[in-house]
Amino acid sequence: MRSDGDSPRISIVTGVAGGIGAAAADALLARGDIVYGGDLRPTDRIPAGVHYRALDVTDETSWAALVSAVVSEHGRVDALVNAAGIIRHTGIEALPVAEWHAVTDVNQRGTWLGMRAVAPGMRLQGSGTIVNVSSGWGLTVGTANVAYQMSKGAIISLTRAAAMELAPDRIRVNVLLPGWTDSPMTQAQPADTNAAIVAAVPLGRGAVPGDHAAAVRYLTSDESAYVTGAALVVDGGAIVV
Amino acid sequence: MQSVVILGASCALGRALSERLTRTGTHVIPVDDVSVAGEGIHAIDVTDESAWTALVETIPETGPVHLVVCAGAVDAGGLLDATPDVWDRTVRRNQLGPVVATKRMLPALTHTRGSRALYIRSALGNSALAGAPLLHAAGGALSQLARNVAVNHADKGLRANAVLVSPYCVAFEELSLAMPDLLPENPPPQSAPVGLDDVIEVIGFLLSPASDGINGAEIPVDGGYLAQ
Repeated sequence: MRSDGDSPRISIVTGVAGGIGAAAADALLARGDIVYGGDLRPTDRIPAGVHYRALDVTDETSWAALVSAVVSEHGRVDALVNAAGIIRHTGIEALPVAEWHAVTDVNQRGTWLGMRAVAPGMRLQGSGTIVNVSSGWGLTVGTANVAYQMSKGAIISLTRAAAMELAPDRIRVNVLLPGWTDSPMTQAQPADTNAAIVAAVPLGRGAVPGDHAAAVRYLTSDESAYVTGAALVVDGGAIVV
Repeated sequence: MQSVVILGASCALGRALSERLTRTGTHVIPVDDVSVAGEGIHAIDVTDESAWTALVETIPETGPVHLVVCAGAVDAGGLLDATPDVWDRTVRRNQLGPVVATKRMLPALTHTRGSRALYIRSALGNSALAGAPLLHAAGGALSQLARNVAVNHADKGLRANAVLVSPYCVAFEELSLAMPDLLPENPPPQSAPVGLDDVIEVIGFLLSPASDGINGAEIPVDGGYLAQ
């Protein structure tokens, strides 16, 4: 197992142009990781220092190209953060099948393909950490958003299965459950919706991406060496209410 | 007379449930995907909205209408050797089929108060074993579907819940056949054996008016498997 004092971790963060993905990449860079960030297209939210690569998380060939590039340059992948995700706000009564596919493919299938892409190399090296990003809405629900909530529930269960399957190879897999977070995703929602959600958070504020980045940093560090299959809720206590 | 649509009626649990409900005078409409549907079962593409619409039109409007989903389609292989094709087949039967069924049955489910939507799944997903990652994933997704339907349609009298079946219960033959090495040979001694009748009794209760206060719940019928 590598230790925090060894050579820099080689980390991949998906959804690096999004709020949580960008913050996670920033936190790993600050720790000294070499960070590869994948997203459909680059934006100015991607932290300086991230090695950006175009990535469609729903496409296994896109994953293969990214992992191959990283391994050819550094020989290994130490950490994967599956932060890519999309949300649609449709309730089941009006849900188009195409929309269900779009959400499920990015959130659920993309998470699986990411693990599937990095795990063989991690097995060979006998170490690795994977953090999948779900949501508080993977355990509870709100109005509408049915495809999103299903996909986030699936990520939690998928993480548990992956953790059991990869534990013999000393690969840890955990899942992060963010609550409402000030991010491009929530900024696209109605202001009164956001205000109502935040007002119900016991800690009295919504999350900022840095809250989740700290959790990602922990779960990809040796400080969490005995943590696998865990669901870490970072929501200011909202899920308890 | 109440009517029950059973999606996944080809599996052991689906067949036993169909027989039991029919004996008790319930109008049963057994349905399964065309890829697995056996004799006497409505064979449709379970992701085809028009097929569901046509099916719903055959339900008599004489009482509560229920949907029972038996979701036990199993992927072949583990996390790394399952292919995208396997993913698509498994997800469409375990997740998309139940979504489309629920969507298209929603008018019938909310037409008469007292209707139920039940999603019967393996307990795997709440706990985990190596292997069958897509079955595990479907478990989490189905519980969220149940919660979503429960929260958003309770005001119309609909109740939605998930039932989590012990992996040692042969409710879903595909699970047992596909992964003979997945489960330890014998269940842990503290875990009581769970049979199809045990599951059907709980389903019967959840379909009854007595369960009106239960909504958005995950109800294990696992003999204590998840409690260990």
